[in-house]
Amino acid sequence: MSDASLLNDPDFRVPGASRGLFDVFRHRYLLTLLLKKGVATRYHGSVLGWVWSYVRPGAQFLMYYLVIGVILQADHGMQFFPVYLFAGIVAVNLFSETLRNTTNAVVDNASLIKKIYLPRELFPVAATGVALVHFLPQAALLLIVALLCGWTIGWLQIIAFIAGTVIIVLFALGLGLFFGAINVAYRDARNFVDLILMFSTWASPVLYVWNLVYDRAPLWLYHVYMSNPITGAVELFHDAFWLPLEPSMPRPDNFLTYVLIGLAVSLVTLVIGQLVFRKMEGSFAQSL
Amino acid sequence: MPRASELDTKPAIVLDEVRKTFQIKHTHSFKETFIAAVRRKPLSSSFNALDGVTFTVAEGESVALLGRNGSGKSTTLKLLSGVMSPDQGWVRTRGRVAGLLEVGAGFHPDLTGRENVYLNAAILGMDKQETDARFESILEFSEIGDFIDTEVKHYSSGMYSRLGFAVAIHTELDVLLVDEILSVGDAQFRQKCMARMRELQNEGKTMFVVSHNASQVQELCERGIVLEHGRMIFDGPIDEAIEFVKPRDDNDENVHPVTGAIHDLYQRDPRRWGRPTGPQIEVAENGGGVFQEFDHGMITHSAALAARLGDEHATVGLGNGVFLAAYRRAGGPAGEWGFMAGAPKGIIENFETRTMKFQNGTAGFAIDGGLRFTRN
Repeated sequence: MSDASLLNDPDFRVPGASRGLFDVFRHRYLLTLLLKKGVATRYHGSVLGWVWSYVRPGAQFLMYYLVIGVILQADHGMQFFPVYLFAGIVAVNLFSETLRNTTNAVVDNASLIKKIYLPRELFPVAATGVALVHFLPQAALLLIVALLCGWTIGWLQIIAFIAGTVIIVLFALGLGLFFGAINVAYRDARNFVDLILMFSTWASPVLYVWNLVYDRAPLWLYHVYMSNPITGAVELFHDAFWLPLEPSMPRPDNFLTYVLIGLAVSLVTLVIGQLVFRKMEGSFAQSL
Repeated sequence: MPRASELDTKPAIVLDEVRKTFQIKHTHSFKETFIAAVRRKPLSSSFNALDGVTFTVAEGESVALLGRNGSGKSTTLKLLSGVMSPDQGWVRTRGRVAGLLEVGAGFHPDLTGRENVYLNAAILGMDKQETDARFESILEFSEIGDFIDTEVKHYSSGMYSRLGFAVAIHTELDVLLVDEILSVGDAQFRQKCMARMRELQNEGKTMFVVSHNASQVQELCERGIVLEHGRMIFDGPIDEAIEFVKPRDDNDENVHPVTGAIHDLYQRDPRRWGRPTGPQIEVAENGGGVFQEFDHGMITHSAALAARLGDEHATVGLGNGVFLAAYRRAGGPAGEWGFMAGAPKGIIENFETRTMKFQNGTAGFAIDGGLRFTRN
């Protein structure tokens, strides 16, 4: 029998005990290195490298614009429909990049997680950082397009842009922690995430405008639709980049309330994701 | 553990009654689960990778963990490093614990050697200043030279593990966990590693080593712990521990498992009993029970006594000597004496009669009277 008084001796540490996301901030230096590693290896071996970060959303935008704007003529009388479209696409891209990265983060770092103890939340958080770095060129491109169309900067736009980004990141990180943890034991989670990503473009006003839902859907469904954090974030991006160009377009009533609900949903998702992650992480080393 | 109390400082590693159970899933999809359920096959089974392991490692001590494949060595290391947590019991460590676990685990093939050094050092818990200060000596130790700015995927396997080892051995630490090291690099590099490990020892670092290589372990550690099927079967001087795991010439089966109540008694002082020389044998006579023979004696466990007095008093061991020889001749636990019921008493040198209680009577030995058994 060992000395039971050591059980609660403050000199001793319980191997593998962590405080979850809070511990990530204690490992800031490691986090920056993991982030650098993720950024440096993202396009490793490709000749064009980070140019792909511009090409992909550019091609996506071109495709949607030609089909929806030109062929279907569904620009809803907007003069700056391309800006509207591009702002939404950039927002949804940030969401899908973050969610996909975070979901795979644990499995991708299996060799490390099986050998050395680190707060495992480091990997999804670093993956989120990589997604944000990936998002910056797209945001810059959007900014340039908006400026060319005669957009001028204002405090309200900056706040809307930051708020939209924060909501997306929190929501995607929460979902990513949840599905990333489940993905370790059941690789079905990854396929489920693909489903979510498929829906996300259509479940928010990216390729169409919000009033279409308002006109055709029952009221309760409209409320649900607007409370979706991604809807709120996409509309915030529209507010930031497109609305100043066309201030006369109709905006949803009580938009701020919906944004706050979306933010609350994101935070709750993050808390649930973290709890599930902590519950599952004990078996990571066995399941990987 | 006496060693911990000899030194007046707190131990560096404590494990108490640790158990780790693994669930093995036999089915991997709904389809397989359904078919298995229809055929009434078990869906999963569990086994104890570690079962009731208790030990303490004092600060500055070097301990080797020995045992055959699948005996629970790596699981123990993973519990110490925090990669896994025990299902029962508790584990505590003191100070900075660094693992030399499969060197280079944190390396990314697309990064250069230099970038990987910083990344791996950070993973092992160092900050930028600490790494900067040690970088030159890491580079020198690894003998990588100008290749340090090449991507590590172009490294030979020797360079890869040399760099990984160099980083790990230079981390700031109090307790070093080592898993199957020193199989890296050539003989010359291995020598250097051993020298560096001894340097760390002299600095008073605690070392916990898992290895199959008996001679290296013998050189490095003073104490050995032997695991067998997740149970601790020996804890003592390294030379004896190595003897313990050596394959026997006369017997293909290396060690017979020591389990149940007999194990509880045995593990308190495995050195007193030595290795089991045969399997645990069930006895139907005298109320039933089990016994097992060891190098230096025999342990019996009686079911009848356990019901009356509790497990602790029903399991008794007896070292080789007059009593055991007579006991064996009388038929052991299955014979007329029955199971052992108490430790021997009386000191012959003081002209006392040495007696020992058995289930069905008392055996007594006096120098002039010889040995006699009195039935109850």
